[in-house]
Amino acid sequence: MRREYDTFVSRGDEIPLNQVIDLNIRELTPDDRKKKYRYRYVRANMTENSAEADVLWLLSKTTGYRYSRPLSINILEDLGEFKSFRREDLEGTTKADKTEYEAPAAM
Amino acid sequence: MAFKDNREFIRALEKTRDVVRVTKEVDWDYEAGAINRRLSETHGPAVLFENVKDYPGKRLFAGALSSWRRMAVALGLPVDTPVPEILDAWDTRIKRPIKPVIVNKAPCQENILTDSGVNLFDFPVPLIHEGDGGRYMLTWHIIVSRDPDSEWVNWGMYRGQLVTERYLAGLVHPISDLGRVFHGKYAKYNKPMPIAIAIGADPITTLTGGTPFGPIDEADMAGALRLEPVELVKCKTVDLHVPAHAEIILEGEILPDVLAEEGPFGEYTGYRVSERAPRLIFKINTLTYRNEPVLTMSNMGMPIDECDITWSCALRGIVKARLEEFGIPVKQVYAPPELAMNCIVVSTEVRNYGLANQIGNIVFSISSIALYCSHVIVVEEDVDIFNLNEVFHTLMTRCNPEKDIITKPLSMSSPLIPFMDPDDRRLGRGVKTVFDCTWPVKWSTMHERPRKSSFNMIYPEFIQKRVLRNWKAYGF
Repeated sequence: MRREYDTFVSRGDEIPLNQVIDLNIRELTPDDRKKKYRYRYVRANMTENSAEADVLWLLSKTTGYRYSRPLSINILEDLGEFKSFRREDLEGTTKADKTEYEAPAAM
Repeated sequence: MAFKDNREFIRALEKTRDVVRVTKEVDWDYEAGAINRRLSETHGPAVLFENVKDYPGKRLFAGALSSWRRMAVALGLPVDTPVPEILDAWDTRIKRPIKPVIVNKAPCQENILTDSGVNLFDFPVPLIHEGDGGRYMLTWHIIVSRDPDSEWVNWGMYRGQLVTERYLAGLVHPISDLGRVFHGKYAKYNKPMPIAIAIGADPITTLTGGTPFGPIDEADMAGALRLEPVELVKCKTVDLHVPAHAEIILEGEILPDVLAEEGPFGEYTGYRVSERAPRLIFKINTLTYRNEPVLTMSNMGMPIDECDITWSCALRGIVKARLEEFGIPVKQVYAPPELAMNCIVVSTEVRNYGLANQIGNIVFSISSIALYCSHVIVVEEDVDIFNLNEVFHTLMTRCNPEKDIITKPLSMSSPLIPFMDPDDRRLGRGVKTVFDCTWPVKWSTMHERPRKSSFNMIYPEFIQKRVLRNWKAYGF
């Protein structure tokens, strides 16, 4: 049975094809249904969708809308339970703006 | 008598026909959320799902306080108590905090699991809306934490989704009570912050976690609103106390140095707005729960849901007290739940120029309100601000768009405000608006102020009385 996963993206072409990358995915067809939507952090290679390979659906990071065409995913390795971000690595990036991650100076 | 737990509350709602027990199997994956959402939008009852797919013996309760009727029942008032009277009861009660009592044995600790025994997927955590970032276990709950420099114990309500068996990720705004203490007193020193999360306490105890009372012990305020102390029990592995009659307790810590992706989520504004982003991680080390536990869900979205009703209660008292402090001759304050916490309506006597602007400045000076609320509508005393139709009529007829709409750019704002540009949302940079619906002070009543053509205002009192007295006799 083809396994299905999904991941969240800012753009439909964000995931590079035919290239090994590390990414956070969610389980959509786990053996134990109670674990549906559990995170997995994997090393994988994505290609255009083919009939045999496992499926990776793409969802918008903001609206949650799902792109109509999925990709195929070949999981090469599990890297851990979920992708974590070190707070210090985010500083100076758009997502590390002071409002969301830093307390205001005045307590 | 206050409700000891949600189970007693559900039984009371059955008597007033304000809850439905669903025994047909319902899927936690979308279906339970869709039912709850439709009930919110159709002013339906609360719902207890007794047969959740994949989870025999575990139940899901939703929509606890999504109506004024259920809020009245929760407060121990008659089910059909008018909204202004519910708000008056709230304001009266919160003036007299009642300390909790500590008990040694508690239903919430009937079952105890630790470390590798903890598996949050063993509960019927719903995928609430299509496209949510995960299954949200924390939508109607209390997160208990302590300020390390004082005895202040904070109860807060911050959304949290499942990541893996022992991890949740949550949105905690840095200017929230929990955010300020975590960032300033734990993360800054790379220390994990101990927390306990109580799910399924009685409705009033739970709502205090989502109410902006400021830096006071919400447990005391829960006692105030219940008119009885809350019973608390000490956690098994963290030095915190939790409501003894809650259904599920998660004991753990917020990690100081790492974040996990969280969101998006359909939010209280009625939209899904905030993007998926790295957010705080709650690591759960111990899980305790009652036999046959009842998980709770609040499906936020288009009003009215628990969030709208709770904040409507809380905002009125906070704003009214602050306006009175400044000597504003305020008559009534109301945050209509239909407007998703984004608007406060104030009725007042008008004695001077610039009053509406002054009221706006005072309201937006309250941080917890400025964060969520973008609009203030100021009307005169003759307007019934609990009647939304009348408020909108007033807005459309008395607010001169050229002179009476005051905008305040570069204001603080929640990242969840839908109309903001995405970059402004990330920065928490917003805009506030005051709609001045009062007549210009210089207009004389005799000649210039338009006369309100309503039954109460344009007929002599003796005619009004006669018409009312004879209403049935006319054949109506």
